[in-house]
Amino acid sequence: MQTSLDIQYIFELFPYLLKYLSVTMGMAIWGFVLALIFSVTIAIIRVFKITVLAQLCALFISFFRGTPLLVQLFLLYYGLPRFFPIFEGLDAFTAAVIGLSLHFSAYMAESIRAAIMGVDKSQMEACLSIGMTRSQAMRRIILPQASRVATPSLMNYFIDMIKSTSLAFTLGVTEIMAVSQMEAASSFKFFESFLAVAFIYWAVVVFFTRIQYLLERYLNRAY
Amino acid sequence: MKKTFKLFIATCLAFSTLMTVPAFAKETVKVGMSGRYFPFTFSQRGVLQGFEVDVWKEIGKRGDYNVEFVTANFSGLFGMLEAGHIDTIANQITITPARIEKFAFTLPYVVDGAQIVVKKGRDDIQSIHDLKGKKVAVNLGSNFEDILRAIYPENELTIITYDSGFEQDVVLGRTDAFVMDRVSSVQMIKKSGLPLQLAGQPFEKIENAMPFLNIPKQVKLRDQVNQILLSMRKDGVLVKISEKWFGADITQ
Amino acid sequence: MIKVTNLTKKFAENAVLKGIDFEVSLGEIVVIIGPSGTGKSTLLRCLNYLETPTSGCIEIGGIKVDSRSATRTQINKLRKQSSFVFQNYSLFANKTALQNVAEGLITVWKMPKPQALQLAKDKLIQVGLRDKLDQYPSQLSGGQQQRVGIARAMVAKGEVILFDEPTSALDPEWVDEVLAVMKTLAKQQQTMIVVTHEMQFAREVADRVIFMEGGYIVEQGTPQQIFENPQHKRTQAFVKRALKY
Repeated sequence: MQTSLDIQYIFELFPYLLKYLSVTMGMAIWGFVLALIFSVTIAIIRVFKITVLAQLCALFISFFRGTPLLVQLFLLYYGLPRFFPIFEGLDAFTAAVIGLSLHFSAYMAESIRAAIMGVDKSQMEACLSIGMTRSQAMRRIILPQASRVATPSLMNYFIDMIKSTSLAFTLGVTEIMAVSQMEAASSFKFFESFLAVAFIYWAVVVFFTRIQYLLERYLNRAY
Repeated sequence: MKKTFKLFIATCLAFSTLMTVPAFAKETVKVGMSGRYFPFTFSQRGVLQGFEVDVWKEIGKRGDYNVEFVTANFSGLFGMLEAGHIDTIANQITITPARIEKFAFTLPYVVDGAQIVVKKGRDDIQSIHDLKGKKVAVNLGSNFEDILRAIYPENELTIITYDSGFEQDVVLGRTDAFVMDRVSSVQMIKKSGLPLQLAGQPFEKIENAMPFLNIPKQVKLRDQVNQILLSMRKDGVLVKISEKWFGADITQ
Repeated sequence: MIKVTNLTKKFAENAVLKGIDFEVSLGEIVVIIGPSGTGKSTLLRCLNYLETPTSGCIEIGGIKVDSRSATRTQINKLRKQSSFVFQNYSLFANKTALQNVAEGLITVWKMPKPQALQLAKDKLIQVGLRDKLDQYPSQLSGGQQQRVGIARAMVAKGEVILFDEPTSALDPEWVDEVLAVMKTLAKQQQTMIVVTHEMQFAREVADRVIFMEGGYIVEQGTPQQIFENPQHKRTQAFVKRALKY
């Protein structure tokens, strides 16, 4: 049993891990951007209670919150091509991005919906009173205000998403977690490998926490 | 109907690849592996290597293929194969009746046995029958689980499936034993220096081969690979690769 | 011109407006008074369709909407004919004073941005907020916020400004500055309907005072008639009590 920590190995590993950080962050950032678009759309449909669409969205949320992300990735990447051969051309990275965005948009839609509902009703009335339509009001007044409320929880989801990208190795996307495990498979220095990858995740999250702070300060300028 | 359509799409894809690259371009074969199975497939200093990698590099050379290695979690490999994302799996895939029904396997290129491994100094487990009532770890998605279940149909032992790190759990005493193929067990113990030992003799002969989809195009590819494997056996290159990684011939 | 015909509003089973008819002509200043909870605010909100009437007709500036056949487009057109000053100001919390006033011009009336900002600036200067243009609502006092609210209503190209108890949420020290702005507006012949408890304002500024109680218009007339010679018993009682303070 190894008792001492091989610090040098950790440092040797960093360059190999960092080479794949762009894969991890690429999935997370693309996934988050898509998830934002999906979730805002879903939230608005649910807030406005648009018939049929609202029910479909409720079903969507129910499914994507009710099943594990790994299962969703499997279904998307391995299941779809069986029934729709066109998806055979879907590459693993894209599949992971789509899977992550669908999964997280289900959660984010609820956060955003809550944030929209949290904006004082009088703000919508003020918009209507000067002749704005409801969608103009949503775009110009309600969503900007809701974004301030939603930012902390959306950032939570983003951070969670960064870490969830490691599941994409199941689809064959080699990202930092996969590299650390593959290196550990030959060196048997599991602890060191995981420590190295933990440092990288942590540093990334600290970086984005800083961004969040700046973003919140900007969104809070009016308050 | 579905199959023909699939084939049609595959042909279209094949043609489109032919159009985009020069006409003399090699056929690309995508080979899936976990990259986490030492010394068959693993990464060291960022370089993917191992027995499987060498075997396929040789196959690629002889068959004039452009071999592309795709690393993925073991539990995802079969899904990728079925969905057509990869052509085959080179990850010590054991031939089982269930798998034979579904896939077109190559000739076996590694013959091995299932091996029980326990913590060093532990002698209460010597054979498969001593596993009764014990906690036994196997790799998630591997066939050792099926082997154990066949021997213990009443669930008289607890099977734990892992993705990685089960060696550590046996050392820590959280799990009584793990079952893995003999070859990689030996290698792993040697390389890691973990206080583990083989318990008894291998209890099941295992033949490992590479599965292809059971569709004409892939079966044709499988047949070509078979020819190459035979020639590699004949001129001793397969054994050479085996000795390079294991110091022994594990191919028969 | 504004014409309201047989307007009713029920919340669940509770009838708040029980058949309201009245007209307001261009340039007229109408003040609605009455005890709390008698439907004054609801009436005003119905005119802007912030509440959907249960039945009845509303016509403002040639746009006529029957509540039973109202379409979204009709409602939107009707809303553009009036603007609203809220009791709690309801400024856009994420916009500066200037942006608050310019917002409708840009979004609703599609005015080019520089022009809209210039007009907004002029209006804010008119209401005495020259040095507060770039402040956010949270940085303004109640009186200042309400003046921004009035400026926002002023730039809307509607025919009438509806004031829903514009001073009742204000600390006493801010009330006068808001009333002063409203008086200036009144002098400019701006059509106004004002729900308020400021009897002094009603007496000084109104062309006509409407007394409402229990979901009905009980009595209406000039300030002089209502405050000095009310005909209806309930008007008498209300005026007597109100003028004591």
